[in-house]
Amino acid sequence: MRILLLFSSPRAFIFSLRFLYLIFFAGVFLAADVPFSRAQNPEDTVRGLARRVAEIRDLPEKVAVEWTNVSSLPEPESIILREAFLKELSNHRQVVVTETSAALLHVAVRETPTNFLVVARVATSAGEEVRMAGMARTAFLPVMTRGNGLRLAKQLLWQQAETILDTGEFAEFPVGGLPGDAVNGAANSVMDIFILKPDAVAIYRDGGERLSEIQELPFVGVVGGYKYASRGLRGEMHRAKDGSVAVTLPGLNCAMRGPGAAGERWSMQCVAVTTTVEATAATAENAQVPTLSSSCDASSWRLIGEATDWTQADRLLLVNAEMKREEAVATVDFAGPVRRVAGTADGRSALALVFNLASGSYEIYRITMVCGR
Amino acid sequence: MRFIVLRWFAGGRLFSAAVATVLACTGGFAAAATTPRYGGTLLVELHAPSLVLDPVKWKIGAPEYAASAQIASVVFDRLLTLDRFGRFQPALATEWSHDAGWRRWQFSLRSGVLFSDGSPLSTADVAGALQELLAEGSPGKAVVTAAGTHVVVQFPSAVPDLLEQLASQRYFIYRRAADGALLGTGPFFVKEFTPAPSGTTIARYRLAASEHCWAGRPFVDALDVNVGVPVLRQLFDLQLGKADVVEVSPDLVRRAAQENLRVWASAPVSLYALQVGADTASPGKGGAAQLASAKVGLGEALSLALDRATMANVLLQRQAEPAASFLPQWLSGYAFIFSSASTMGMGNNVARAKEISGPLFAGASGPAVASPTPLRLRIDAGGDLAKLIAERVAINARQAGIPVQVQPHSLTRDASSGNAASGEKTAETAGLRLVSWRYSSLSARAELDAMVATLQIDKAADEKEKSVEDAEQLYARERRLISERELIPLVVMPEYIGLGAEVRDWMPERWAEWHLADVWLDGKRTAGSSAGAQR
Repeated sequence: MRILLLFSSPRAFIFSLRFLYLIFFAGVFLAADVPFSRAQNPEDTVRGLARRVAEIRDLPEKVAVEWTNVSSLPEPESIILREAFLKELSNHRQVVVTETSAALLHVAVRETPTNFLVVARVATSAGEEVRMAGMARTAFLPVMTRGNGLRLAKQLLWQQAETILDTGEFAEFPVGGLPGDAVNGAANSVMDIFILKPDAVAIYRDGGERLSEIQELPFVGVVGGYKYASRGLRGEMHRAKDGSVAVTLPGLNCAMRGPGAAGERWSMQCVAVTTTVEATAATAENAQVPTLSSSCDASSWRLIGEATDWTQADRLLLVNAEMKREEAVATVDFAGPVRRVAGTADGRSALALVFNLASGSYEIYRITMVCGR
Repeated sequence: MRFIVLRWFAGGRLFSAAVATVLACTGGFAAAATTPRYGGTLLVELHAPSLVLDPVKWKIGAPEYAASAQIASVVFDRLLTLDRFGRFQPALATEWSHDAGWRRWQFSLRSGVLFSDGSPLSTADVAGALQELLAEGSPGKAVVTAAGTHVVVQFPSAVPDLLEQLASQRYFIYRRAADGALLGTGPFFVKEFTPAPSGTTIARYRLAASEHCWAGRPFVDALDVNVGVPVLRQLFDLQLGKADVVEVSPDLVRRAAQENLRVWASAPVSLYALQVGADTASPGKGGAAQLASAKVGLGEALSLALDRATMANVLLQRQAEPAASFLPQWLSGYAFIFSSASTMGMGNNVARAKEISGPLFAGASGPAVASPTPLRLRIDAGGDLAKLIAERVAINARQAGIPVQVQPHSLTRDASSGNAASGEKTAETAGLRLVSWRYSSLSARAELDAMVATLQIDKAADEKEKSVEDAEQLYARERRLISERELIPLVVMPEYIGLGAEVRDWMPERWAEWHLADVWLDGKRTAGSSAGAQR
């Protein structure tokens, strides 16, 4: 009836020809495109793989699936693919956890320079059957670069009007600990937060809600007549190879050592040096940008500041260790320039020293990575 | 300084951690170090006796051209590149598209690109270079035409992996002058060549930074590339600060570690394999069918006799991996199936090997009935490493009752082309051959095609099978090839590079593409450099 209507006028006839022409070429295009499913949705691709696995001759009714991800595909994405695969497979076979009568289907996510490859293998009476499905790595890139929904959280630990030059969190090694191994030593020891001021190092302990001062070590008491002078507010602390905390200031180098026995306190030894302000500056600039790890994935992450000078409010960018600055996945804003970012021994958080442009105070924040979108 | 060896064998997850490690250890995360410095001369030492910078002259798969390809990559550019996240990045081409059948490809060229002599790059240059390179390349008989600002490549059949191919191998863009010399648009150009003085083997190429490179001037002012440097001397020069980038032979990696030198390792990029020629079945007598059958039997016996794990772990000091496939895991994605599949006969089973070889070599292992003529094992790959592997192959073969005599590389050169991958002397007349193959393509299909064509190991394949379209078909083809035992994979090896203390931002691709233009030198050597303008 409809065809008759279409052909009822020459114009309709021409239209119908055009329509058929379009359908024909669309068909040709799709047919040509079928073998190369580069643009296909990854979940559709694994569903297709599941259907092809189900079509394997001699495949038992019951199938147990062992899914492994041996690639750089983020684990959450691998789980999504696995669920899509299992759901589709269960439409055709009985998927069981483990059972002697079930065929064991090994599914592995692997990778090539351009693709993620899902390889399914199962032993049948005819030998091992292998089915594969490829997905472009770029199909997952937005996921990989957005860091699986990683966020940055900040917690204000300390605030003071007086100048803070640097901050860091260092382990108080137990007696018989590993002074040369900061990470291992840290696992068994108490963590203290150090605040470097122009005249002293103050040591605090995080009590959960607030920091409580446990010790202050002034420089004047160690090197008589020392006077801090630097327009650039230079000064830094870092864990030295021998386990001590090295403090570098213009004209002064100090080494702080943790308690050697229960009841003892931190001690500090300093020597006056002829270090110029510039030399100290170079040392400060060579400080490591901290790398963070999270429980969300196995990647390493960097925290990078953005401000070009101290007149601007700053923010920290969370960037995958393999990515560029432009590919930051999360940010956290501050009310002033971030003067220093120091990683902690366990790599799970970092301390940020910020000069609050509104209040004029120095603030220390703990920055942590949080999973979830 | 820290010793760093990045292993790719465990897959990409390790890569992430490894990259982080190398960056952290080299100061890549240091705040001050993120600002590269301009200036200085990067000193590179290579073992290859000379450089061949004309990609047309390279023999695909031949290891001796790997060094030339590395240096060519700073002289020439490609249309596009592949980054480590699987993204194709524009280089000389800014856009590309293809038809539904993957036969017609169109590339839009970047404007304003200049050759090292200051002349502009044109679509005719691109078409000319591609036509030359594609004429004998794996994609088939391509027709390349320049059309306005576009270059169109037309193939007779689908080439869905053209981008992978153009981002690797020898597909550089150049202009060929009347005298045959090539001009490139890359970050460096060859400024000077100093031949080896009499009595030495070391020649020097000096490459100067191209000030008007479209991608920006490289950080160092020049590359001094010394070729023909013995591997041991390279290590000494690295220790003494006389070289910044050197090749480290796998047998020297452990020593480099003991010396606290920085060593970078790529993914496995070299394959050692044993090629079984047709005349190897000569101990028996009979017609062609019997010979072919005996050849398959011999291949199977050899494959079972070979102790690849000992080769990789003891002989090569864990700097190599046993190979069960032609293509490496990082390239095919499925090679692990062959490693775990005992049905492929890759496991070491001397008893079974003896059973198979017994009828072929009666008397070789038991009481001598007759003294069979030993099979000649020619070493087509150069270097001590190949000799070591060949001798181990011979020992394993003898244990399985297969008499094998190793023929040194020098004699091999006299007897044939001397190049494993040349294909000039086929396996038909060669007996056993130890061949080494250098992977160079980012397309698994193209790599396997090139290997098959060059080594002439799959003459029976029909055209339909050659035009594989996905990983599963490629796997099926490789599986069949392996089962035919014409080529028996032995070990795969990464490339090891020793790095000087002042080398920064060494961030090569895992398939061993160096990116020398991105490297910069820290320390006093860059101070006072002439062209070191801060850009």
